[in-house]
Amino acid sequence: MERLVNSLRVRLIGVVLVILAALVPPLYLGVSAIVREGYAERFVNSLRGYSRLVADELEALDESDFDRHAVALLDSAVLSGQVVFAEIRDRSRTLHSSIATQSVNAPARDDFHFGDQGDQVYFITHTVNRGDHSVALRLGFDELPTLEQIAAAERHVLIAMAAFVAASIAVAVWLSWVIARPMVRLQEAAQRVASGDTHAQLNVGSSIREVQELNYHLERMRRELVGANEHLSREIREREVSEQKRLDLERRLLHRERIATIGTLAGGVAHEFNNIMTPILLYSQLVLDEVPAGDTLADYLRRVIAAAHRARSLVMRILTFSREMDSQQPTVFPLRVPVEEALALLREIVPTNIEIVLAAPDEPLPVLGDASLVHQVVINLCTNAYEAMRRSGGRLTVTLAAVENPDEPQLRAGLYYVLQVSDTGHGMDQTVLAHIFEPFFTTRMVGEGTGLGLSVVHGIVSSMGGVITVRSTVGSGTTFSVYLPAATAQAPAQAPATAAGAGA
Amino acid sequence: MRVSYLLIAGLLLCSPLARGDPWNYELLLMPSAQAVGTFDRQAPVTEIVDQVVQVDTLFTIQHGAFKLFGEYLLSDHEGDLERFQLGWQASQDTVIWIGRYHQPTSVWNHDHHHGQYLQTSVSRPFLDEWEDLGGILPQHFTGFLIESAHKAFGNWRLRTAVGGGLAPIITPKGMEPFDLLHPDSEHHQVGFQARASLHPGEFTESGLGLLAATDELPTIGLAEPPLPGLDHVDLKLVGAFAIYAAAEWKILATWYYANTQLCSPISTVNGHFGVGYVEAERRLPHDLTAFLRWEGSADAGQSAYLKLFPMMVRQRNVGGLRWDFVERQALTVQLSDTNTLDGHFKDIRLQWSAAFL
Amino acid sequence: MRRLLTLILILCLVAPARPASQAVVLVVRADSPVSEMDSVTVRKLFLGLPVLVNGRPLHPLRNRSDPLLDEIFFQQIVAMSQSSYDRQILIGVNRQGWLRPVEYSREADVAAALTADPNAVSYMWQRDVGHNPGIRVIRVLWSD
Repeated sequence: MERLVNSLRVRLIGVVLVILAALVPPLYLGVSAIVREGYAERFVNSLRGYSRLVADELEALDESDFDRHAVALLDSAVLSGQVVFAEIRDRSRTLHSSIATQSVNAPARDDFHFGDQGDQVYFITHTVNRGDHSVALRLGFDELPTLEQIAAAERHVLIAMAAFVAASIAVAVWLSWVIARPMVRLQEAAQRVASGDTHAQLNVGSSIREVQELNYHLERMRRELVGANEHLSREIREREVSEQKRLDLERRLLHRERIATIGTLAGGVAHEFNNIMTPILLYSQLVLDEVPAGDTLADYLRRVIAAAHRARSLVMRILTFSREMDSQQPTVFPLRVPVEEALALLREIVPTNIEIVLAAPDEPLPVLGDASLVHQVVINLCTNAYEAMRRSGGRLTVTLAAVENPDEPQLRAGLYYVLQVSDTGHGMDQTVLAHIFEPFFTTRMVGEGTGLGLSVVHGIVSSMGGVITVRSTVGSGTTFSVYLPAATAQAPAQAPATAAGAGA
Repeated sequence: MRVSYLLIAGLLLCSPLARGDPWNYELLLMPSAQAVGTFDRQAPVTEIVDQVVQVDTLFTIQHGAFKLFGEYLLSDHEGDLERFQLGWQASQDTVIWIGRYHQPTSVWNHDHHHGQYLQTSVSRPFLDEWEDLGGILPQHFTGFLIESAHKAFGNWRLRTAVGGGLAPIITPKGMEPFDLLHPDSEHHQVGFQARASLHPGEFTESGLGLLAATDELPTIGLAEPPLPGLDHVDLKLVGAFAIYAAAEWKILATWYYANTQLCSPISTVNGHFGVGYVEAERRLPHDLTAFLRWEGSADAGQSAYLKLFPMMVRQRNVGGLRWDFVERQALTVQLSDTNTLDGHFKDIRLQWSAAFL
Repeated sequence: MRRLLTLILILCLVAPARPASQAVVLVVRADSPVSEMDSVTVRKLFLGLPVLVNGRPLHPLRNRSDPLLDEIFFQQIVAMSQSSYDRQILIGVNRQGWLRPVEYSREADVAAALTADPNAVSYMWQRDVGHNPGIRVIRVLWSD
């Protein structure tokens, strides 16, 4: 009920009804009074003038045959249609009109206002001079026709008022509809916006200026709201991306720090170890020189020296991992060259059940860096590949290609050269893939691998501003892809890569 | 010396003749205001020149049989002493005036003068229009006027009026009557008017009448007169009128025949035209009065004289409604469809008028 | 019965006494040149038309000391309604500078004005004339 009362339409109509209720009754009463007064004034004016004329006529009558002329005058007054009572009182006698009139009881006193005495007859007496005496002419004028005219006029006024009230109410209803309709439509549109449909336009198409302005400002608010929403969403997305990048960077930084720490540690240990191995190698070689060839001791010494060499080699590899990769000034060199050299070496040691294939374009594919390190990368990757196919055999494919804007999130846009090493070995599962670039991570038995190979590769590639990725399917094989920025145009800025062994 | 001063002096000089009589005075104010809107104009000259706001002030100072009577009109574009008359009630039915008066051959102006409240319609018939509003017939004279009433036969009364005095002159601004406040009688010539009417009673407006006037109207400073070297116009008028006023109806009609002679030192141009109107008024309930008026002319287009008056209304239909909403105040709305000599327009007017005694 | 009679007597005493037959008369100063006046002339005079006696205009005085006198004035003397009378006065003032009858709202002022002006004409209740020797009755205008 309260909701109904508070609605705009109901209130508008209510206001009109209140105004009508306040104004129409006094207006009707006022107009009726004016109508009545107007008719009464005309009636009184007319009868006064007419009766005065009759009185003047009576005053002018000759004394001879006065009675006959007086009665004739009264008759003419009655025949005029307005007079219902006519008499002349002359001293003790009374003369009446010879025309029968309705029975009228003349009151004692005259009327001075229309409707006086309530007898519907207006009595007026004129005192007429007749020489030495006066006579009284008394006429009664019928008020009934005028009363009927007044009643009819009041009825007309009432009908007109009723029509006015009806028309006012109709106009009020229509006006309230005209005013309320755009407001309702605005309200519905605002509700849609509030419930999330911020793209629903607010446009009610009203001709009322205030509604148009309200529409315009609400629509502006909606657009600003939409804009703010999109801005916020964009900001949130950007922040999420930044957060992700930050986390990524943190992870990488952590990884790099760990690797750097490990590298530093390994470097320290390797350096000491190298110092320890030097006299072992030296003195073993001296003893071997003293021992006759073919002696069992010489064989033992040769095994010791080989082991020591292997140990030294391992130490060198650890030192390589820990050393900063900018030990040599980077130069531009064709990528194809160290790859081919490494493959040539590998063909010597890889078993024949493993086919080595190189697919490379004729272009030189220049990159900026250390060719020997690239050589190292190829050796390490191919070594891992042939280890995965050692028992079953397979195919080792090395591919070189140029890629524009590679689809790797770590890489900026630009020209890259990709070195792909694919094998058809046993592949690796996701658990292994997650750790393969960590130092000392290995799936081989103890003594079969150090777990540093791929860490070294990762470090070398990162130091050259590149990225290494791996895809592997258990039972099908593994593909390593090394993206190195091309040195042909301005070298793109180095990606935020972790250099292997970048610790101090 | 100004005529106005002369008249005041005259009253004072005559006062000894009225020794023993008290000094009596009367003041009547009749203000009015109207809003006018014209539309459907189809002519170069369709301007309405009219008073928008005005107060008509009438004053009388009476001492015995002598009275000084004046009418001063103050409006938004003029302030003028329209009438200023010294009168002598020669007998019960005859009064002799000297001064500035409204010529008696104008039935409308004789009844209503400048007071808007007393006339039912807002505008007056154009043949009775005032000189400064483009009127074609002289209305204000300065001279003498004798008005009387006589018993005719039975209850019928004969009313007469005879006047003579300085007539207006014709200038580029139109007709200019003799100005009491700024007198310049150098150019004005004398004209005469006469009116006689029969009325069925002492107090009734109804009646029939005849009108006649002869005027010599000098022309001054006309840039392009219809007759080269135009010097003056001899204007002779004859006319008739009838008024029927009963309880609810009033019908009045007037018709003039005008004979004109435009004179220059070397030639004259004769012409004539007719002009008149019929108006019907009916009192309705609720203090309403409806009115309709037809104004027409004959040979107006051929009249060289009428070319001197660009605002001449050749034909006009007027209708409206008056409401006496309170005592001595009225609101009137009027619609007109006017054809001038070279154009046409319609106008609507809303007027408030009142009388304060 | 006695109580009833007493009650009737009291009612008769308390009830407004019906005045004796009252009349309105046209009056002038005792030495006024006006000896008689017909109803038409009376009407003309009070409508503002000039009425002369011996070459001198008569001066109508309107007696407004009693509301009933006002009604009788409109009904009997000018024989028209108040609004019609107002209009007639306006017309007369506008056309020829007629004067409205001077109005007095006190009986004493009417009598004083009458006695001061030999050409003044007015009307009053006949009972008010009786004790004023300076005033003469011309005619009876109305009686009930």
